[in-house]
Amino acid sequence: MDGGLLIRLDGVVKRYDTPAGSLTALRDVSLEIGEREFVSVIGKSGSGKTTLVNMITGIDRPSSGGVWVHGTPVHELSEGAIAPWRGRTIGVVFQFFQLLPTISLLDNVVLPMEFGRVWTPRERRARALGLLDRVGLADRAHKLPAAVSGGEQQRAAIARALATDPPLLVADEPTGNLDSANAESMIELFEQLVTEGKTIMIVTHDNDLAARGTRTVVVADGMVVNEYVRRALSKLDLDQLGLAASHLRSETYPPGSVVIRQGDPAHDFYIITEGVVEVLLRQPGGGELVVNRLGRGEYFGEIALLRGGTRRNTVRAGPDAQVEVMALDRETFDRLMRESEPARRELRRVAEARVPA
Amino acid sequence: MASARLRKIAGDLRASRTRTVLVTLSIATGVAAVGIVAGARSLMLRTLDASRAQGAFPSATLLADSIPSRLLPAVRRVPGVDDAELRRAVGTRVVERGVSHDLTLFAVSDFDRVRIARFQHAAGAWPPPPGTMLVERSSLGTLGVAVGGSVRLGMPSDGQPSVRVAGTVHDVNVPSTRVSDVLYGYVTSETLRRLGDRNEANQLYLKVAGNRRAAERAAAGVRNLLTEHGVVVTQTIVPETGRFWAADPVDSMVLLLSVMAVVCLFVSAFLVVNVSSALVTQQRRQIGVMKAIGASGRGTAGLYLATASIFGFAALVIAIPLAALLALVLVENSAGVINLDPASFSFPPDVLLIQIGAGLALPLLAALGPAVVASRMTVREAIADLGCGVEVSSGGFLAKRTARLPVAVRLAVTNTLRRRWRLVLTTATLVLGGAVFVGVLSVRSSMQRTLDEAATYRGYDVDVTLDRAYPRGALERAAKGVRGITRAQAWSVQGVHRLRPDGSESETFAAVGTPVGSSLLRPLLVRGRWLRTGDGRAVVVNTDVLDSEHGLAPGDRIRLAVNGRPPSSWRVVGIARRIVAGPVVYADRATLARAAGAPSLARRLVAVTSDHTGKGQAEIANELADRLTHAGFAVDSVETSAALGALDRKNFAIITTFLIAMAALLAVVGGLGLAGMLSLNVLEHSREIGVLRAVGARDRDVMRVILGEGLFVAAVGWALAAPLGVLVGKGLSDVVGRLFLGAPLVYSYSEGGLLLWLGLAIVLAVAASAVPAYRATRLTVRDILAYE
Repeated sequence: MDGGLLIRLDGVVKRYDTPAGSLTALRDVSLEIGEREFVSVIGKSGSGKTTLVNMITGIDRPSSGGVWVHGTPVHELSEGAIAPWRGRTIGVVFQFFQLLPTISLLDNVVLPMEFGRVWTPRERRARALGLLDRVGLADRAHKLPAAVSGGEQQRAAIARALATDPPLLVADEPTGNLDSANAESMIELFEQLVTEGKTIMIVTHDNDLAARGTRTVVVADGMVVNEYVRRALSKLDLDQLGLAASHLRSETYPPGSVVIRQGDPAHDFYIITEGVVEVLLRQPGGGELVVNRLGRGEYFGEIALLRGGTRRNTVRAGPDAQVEVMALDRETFDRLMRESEPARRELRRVAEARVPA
Repeated sequence: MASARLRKIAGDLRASRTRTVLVTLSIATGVAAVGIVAGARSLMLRTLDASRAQGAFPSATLLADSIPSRLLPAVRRVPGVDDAELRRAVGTRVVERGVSHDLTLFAVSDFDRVRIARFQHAAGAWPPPPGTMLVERSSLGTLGVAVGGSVRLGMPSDGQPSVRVAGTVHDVNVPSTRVSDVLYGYVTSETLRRLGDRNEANQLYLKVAGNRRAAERAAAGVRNLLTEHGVVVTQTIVPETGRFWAADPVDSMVLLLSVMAVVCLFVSAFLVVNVSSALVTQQRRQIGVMKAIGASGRGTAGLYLATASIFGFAALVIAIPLAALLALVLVENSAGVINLDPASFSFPPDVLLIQIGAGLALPLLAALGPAVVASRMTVREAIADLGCGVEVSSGGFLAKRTARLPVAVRLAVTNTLRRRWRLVLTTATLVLGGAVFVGVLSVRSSMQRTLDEAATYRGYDVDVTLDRAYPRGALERAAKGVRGITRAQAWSVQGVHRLRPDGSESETFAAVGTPVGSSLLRPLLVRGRWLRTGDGRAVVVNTDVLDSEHGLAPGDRIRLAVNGRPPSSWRVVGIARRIVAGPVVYADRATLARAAGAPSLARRLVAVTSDHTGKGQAEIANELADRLTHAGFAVDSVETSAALGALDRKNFAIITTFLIAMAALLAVVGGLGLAGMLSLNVLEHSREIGVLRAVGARDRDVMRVILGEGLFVAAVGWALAAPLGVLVGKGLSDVVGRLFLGAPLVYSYSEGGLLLWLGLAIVLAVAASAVPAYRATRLTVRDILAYE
């Protein structure tokens, strides 16, 4: 990560009480985002990604846990303090633009500056015109939102989000209602803003758009999918990642301890999230030879699961530090392999490279 | 306020022009109503003050057959009397184009030295040359001649001299001819003698410093002095200090106007509440966005309060000049009716302040609730889509029970019930407006019913008042000799005053002595009963007596002095509704005559005619007056029951016209409120309309739903207004009756008014929803369902 820490979530849980019962939208989410990051938050509908972003913007409050943005404990701010804080700290871009319909684009951009009581009236107008010019709308500054296209409205919305020069921009499905050309120009703008020192967080369900960010946070079933899990199972779609994430369990192994033993039945698939493991092969004359070392984001245990039979190797934690892994049960692994041909091919390829069949 | 926010408010107002206009007009109506009431009242009070100064109202007036002028110095020395003047008033008649009018002729010795009961020169000569008269300016039209023309006066002394009208005066001490149907003429004493009347003055005006009690005491002292000198006082009039004769009807009108103003203000407030809450609802997402980009709760509330303030300012721009104009028109018209000159027009600062206060405070207060809602709304509530939390349907209960009705009807009903507070406020508007509308019309019908019942009071067709007492038998015989008279009865009229328990004395009331059981007099009793044979010294008093004799009730024993003779004990057996203005006491003719020491004398003659039509009565009455005059009886005035009834109806017509105008205005105000609220409903249902059309609804299906909502609301409002109108009408009738007639009106609920309000409510509901509904049907589905 470049720069310091801008956003930190620590054990955030969000529950809603509905007539149908209690619904947990976020389950013990912890996350850190640094300055100058371009973060894409992806997840399918109902995964909790919007709730996650709402925790950061202060639009919603956690049931438990804490949220810090730019050093401010957002979860402790009163309702009255949040709005002005948000106006100065976060620029929000909505999916459906949400420009105020009865005032011009220029006034829409001036408005946050008025609320935030920053700059003089003359300076506000000048800055607003400058921002609109930056997004290519200077000649339409005095038009009402209904008189411009969707793409132009979204660009005006971005200009508005930049009005008070906030360090963080949050955009919820910003390209959801744009054609591809406008979407591309908008993403390029975001990338430019990151180089200028802004931190951008966009919420999207579009994997391709997410890939443009410097980092992707996957939200599935109310949880943030571990980065290394996502990397390890990069060929899974969001549903499959969600299924995997909901069945993963965290395990810790002290230095030198055995995770799986050669000849044992195969029950789980493992993804390394911390530390280094040694892959050992029993020698004909006794003793074991370290044939490989695997680190964070890499996985093991797939060969026996894919080909059947017992474990081909012993895997133990490295001698210097404990190892943390995420273990996936065989049943779920088999199901994912059945459902995701890309993931199956990828794992078979890696397995073949490791131990030719 | 910084400019972008102000432009947002301006843009919001422009975006819903119809709503903006409706709300502004509604507030303007309420504020204007307040301004009209306050302004008219202020202007009328100044007019009355000026008139009071102009007219130098007497503190007390004593009437007698004859008051020698030599007693005047002694009268002026009676304790409490600051000044005293004598005047002679003679009842004459003018016959013009076959119609007879009573004309009271005032004789003044020196026109330039009148100090009490003053009248001002209006046009023509001043003073009137010998042999001519001046007439009260309000009498000129009825008199039928212009200044310079001549009329024939039917004098009590059997002459019919011709008198030239030399000019006009303005006399605020007498009811205008338009109200009393009595003409007033002013001559010099010399001219009166030329006309054949050489009698002494018969009216004594007193000026007394202090309140009414002081005036009563002084009048009692003067009465005693006159009695000592053989002068029998037949009546004493002691009005409320400085109170103008038309004060009661003016007070009634101010009261009714005030009720209307309050109702208009409430209706305006309801509309502002609804519009503000609808605005907040419609702009829910905008509120969320503004808070997302930094708006505080207070700032958000400020936007909506500022919007309400703009409504108020705009309303003031309309209301202030409108109120000034209408207050002036109202006062000028009212003053014209009661023969006053309106004071110079200026809108008092306090009235302006009241209007400004109402115009600004009302919308702010009304918008406060919705503004607080907006301030407390979180961004999440406004715009976050969590995909959880289902809005519980509130229409399930009704939906089950209306399953057999067409969907359009069910939709109309459930749509209306979804916004409960708006339904409550809309209904409250209709209920309030409707209740007062029906109440006002009930006052009108109650007045009519009271008049109709009052007409039964008189069992006679002709009523003759003589200028002094004459033998009863002779009067009756002379009357019965007139063709067309089937029955005649002579009544005595004496002066009675009460000695109160605290030792003070009342003014002198006219006591009318009639035969007990006479069918010619059938007063309407408010409490107790009428006189019966064998009652002995019993009286029935009318409600005007209670003005000074508070708390008198049937069964009370009071001490009365008749014609200044030693007082004796009398029992009050009943209280009658006032029909004729002024305090009147009724007693058995023979008992009263004995108490007066004047047996067999009468001063009033009533007769039943064979022809009860107005024309027939008038002809017979003229002939009776002529016959009596020829027989040597001096006739003071002649009235027919038809003419009196017509006069009552004419006077009440002024009030009923006013009431109908009020009712119409209430309908307008209620309609504005209803239109505004229904427009909001349609605006908010645009999305639903789009969905309906997307699933195949035709234009008329859509309109049916919207019209259904309007009619449902109108029906609910009307149903609740019906019983409330009973209470409102009764309350207003009681107050108006007490002010006009000294007793509550005979209540009559206006079913016609209720039906009229139903019709109006339906028309208003249809009109209010039809236009927005039609506009909605013109929108395309794409337009309606497009995301904002």
